[in-house]
Amino acid sequence: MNPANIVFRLRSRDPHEAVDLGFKFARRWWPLLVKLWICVTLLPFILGLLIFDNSVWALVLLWWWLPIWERPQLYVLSRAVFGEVPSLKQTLRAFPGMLWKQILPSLTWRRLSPSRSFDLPVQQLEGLTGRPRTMRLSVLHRDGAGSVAFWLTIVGASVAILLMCGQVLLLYMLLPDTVTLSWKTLFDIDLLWAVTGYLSLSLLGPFYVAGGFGLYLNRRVLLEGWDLELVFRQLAERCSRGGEHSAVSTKPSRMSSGGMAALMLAICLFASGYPDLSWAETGTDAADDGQELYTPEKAQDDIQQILSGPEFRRKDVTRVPKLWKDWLESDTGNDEGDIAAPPDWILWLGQNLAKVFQAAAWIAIILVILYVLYRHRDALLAAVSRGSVVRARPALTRVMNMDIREISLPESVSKAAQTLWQQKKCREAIALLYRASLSRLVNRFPLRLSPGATEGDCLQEVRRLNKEEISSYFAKLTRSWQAVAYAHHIPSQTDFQELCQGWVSLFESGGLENVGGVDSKAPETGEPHAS
Amino acid sequence: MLDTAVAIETPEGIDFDLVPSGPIARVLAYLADLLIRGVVMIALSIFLGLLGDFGGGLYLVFYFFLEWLYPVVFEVTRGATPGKMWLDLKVVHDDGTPVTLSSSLLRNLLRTADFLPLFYATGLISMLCNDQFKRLGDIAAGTLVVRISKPRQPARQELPPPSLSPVPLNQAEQAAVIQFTLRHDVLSKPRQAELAGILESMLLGMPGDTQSVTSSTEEADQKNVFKLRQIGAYLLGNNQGANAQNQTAQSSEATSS
Repeated sequence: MNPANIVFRLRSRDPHEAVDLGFKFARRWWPLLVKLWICVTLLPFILGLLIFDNSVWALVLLWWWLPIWERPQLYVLSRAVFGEVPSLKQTLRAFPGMLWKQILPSLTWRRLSPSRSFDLPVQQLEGLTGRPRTMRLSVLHRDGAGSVAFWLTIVGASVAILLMCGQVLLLYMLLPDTVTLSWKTLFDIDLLWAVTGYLSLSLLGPFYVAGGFGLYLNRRVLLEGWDLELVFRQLAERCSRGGEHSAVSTKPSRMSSGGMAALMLAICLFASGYPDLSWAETGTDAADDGQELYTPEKAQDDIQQILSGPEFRRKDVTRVPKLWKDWLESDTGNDEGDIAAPPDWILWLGQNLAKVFQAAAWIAIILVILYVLYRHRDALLAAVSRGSVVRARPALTRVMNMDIREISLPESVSKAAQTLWQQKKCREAIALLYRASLSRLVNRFPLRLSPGATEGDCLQEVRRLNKEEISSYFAKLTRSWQAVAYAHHIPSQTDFQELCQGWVSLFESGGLENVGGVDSKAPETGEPHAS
Repeated sequence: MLDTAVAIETPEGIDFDLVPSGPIARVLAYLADLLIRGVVMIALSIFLGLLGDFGGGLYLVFYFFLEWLYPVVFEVTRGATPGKMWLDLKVVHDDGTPVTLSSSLLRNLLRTADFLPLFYATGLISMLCNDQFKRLGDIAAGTLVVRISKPRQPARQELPPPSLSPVPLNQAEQAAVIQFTLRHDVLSKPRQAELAGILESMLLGMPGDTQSVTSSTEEADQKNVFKLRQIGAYLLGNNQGANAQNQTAQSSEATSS
């Protein structure tokens, strides 16, 4: 045995946990174990069904011979846990060899032993008989393992019976009402009981063997220190390599902190890619110079003003019907009449309640359909009239709270920007250029923007126009605009001049009719608009 | 690698193992609870039988609460019903946190589903099919029934005087040395010598009577086992005076060399 090949984690477990480990084995190799079970037991079971008049005898015989069927299961498990899973064929070939070993005691006086699956490995794998076997078992049964093996058998047998009855009951529950079946006849259907019993044994058999084997294996691990051997060997190897051991304990933490740093770096890089997407307002900057100081007295006034506003002066008037008064008045008039005859409309409602709800449901459905149609009207229209005029919507007038109608622009944008620049209103100058570019692009090029577009969105849409010059210019303009708007970083004189020149060459020089494309580089003529 | 434990990592980066319990322990715990409830109901029936019809009504009310709230109350307040405590089981959430009222209610109300068609047959099959031995109620409520292992602390006089390890040990190695020390009675003597022999080169670096090289192999084996147990005693926290002993040992070594 080489501990390095073991497929389960070696550590000391308490007996109950060891049984659970065995169940894990059964789950792990379940298909193979069940196939094996069926290969070995199906034929004897069918033979039994044919031989005996009462099919239950076939089941009883199968149950009594369980120690035989369990041997190949253990054969598979005992090899599989050490990393070499035998095939079905191999196991079946080995089956006759293990069949005859101590078969007499297994089927007679040891058959009802309450620790059958726990003792099986000692007999089959260690091949002990007689006194050595007894002594070996007494060692293995210590430390609570024996009692858990006992409970494994007891619970296993009870669960097998339970599942058998459960299946029959389930079938009974599923019988249609028209079929009446008395319990007496149900008990007389022996074939049903035999088949359900066979199924429940097939389900639990592998688990029972594996549970006992897990228990046995854990005792071996405990008594022989397999887990210790594995770790000690690794430790000895580490020591013999020498010198490195001092670094071992600190290495993982250092590595993880390095990983952490890399992660942080990645996050920073990722985040720094984002300023393009941030949203800006072109409204007045709050940090204007020349604003007077905000004194505590002024703040007090403001607070008072806000507190006296309508938000803090809300009054709710709730009217509650005065039941007591109503009752008194009604009592004086009619005493019994209203109880005997409820109003007609209530009667009508009671009789036609279903129809009312039906009508309400239809109305609701129609409203929902109408709402959905209205909500997706654009997409629907586009789908209906694909290829025809797509831009049915009027051109956008405001983006990012900026007016981008052509009327709102001065006649010569570059001139106006230059003037603003000379008046030291740099922010306004860049803003004007940016706004004017957007306006031109929306009104004279097929640029589609949504009213909620950000600078980044606009830039992306412009890139989608596939006009290299415009998109590169617009990217530059957007960058300087963002620098002014958010960082108060004013571009140099030459940069501004370049922006102005670019604007003129792209949007002004070609005149109003350059709707299609401005690919040709326009000569730098003077502005057509004399101002 | 197959294991019965599920590793949980806390937000603080601490790993610990939860060991979901399999059907055998849980069936036994359930039967114990059933027995306790049965005894209580029989006692109540004797007492309430004296009250006539009123007692009968009260009995049904008690039965209802005992049937549905017995597990919930114990799980929320104590973490486990008496039957589960007896078998060292505990109900926790999937992430190891204590079970709350809502999840405990959910997992216990779904006993109705697990019970079908007969005496928890569905629940048992569900446990065998689920990798963490959950019945339907556990799956729905996100709970686990875990096994609590109580650490075994040996009597202090059993342990040899503690000593530092000559080589820094990582967590798994410390656990193995501790296990070696605790399983002194379980492991056979030759096997102990064999295991300690694996680490002979490491143990040679330990302070102590290093000059007894001439002794027989059997004695050397005994010495190895003893030294390893000394390290185990140190790791088990029995380290009063370990430093002093270590220092004296080192000084004696210095004088001898």
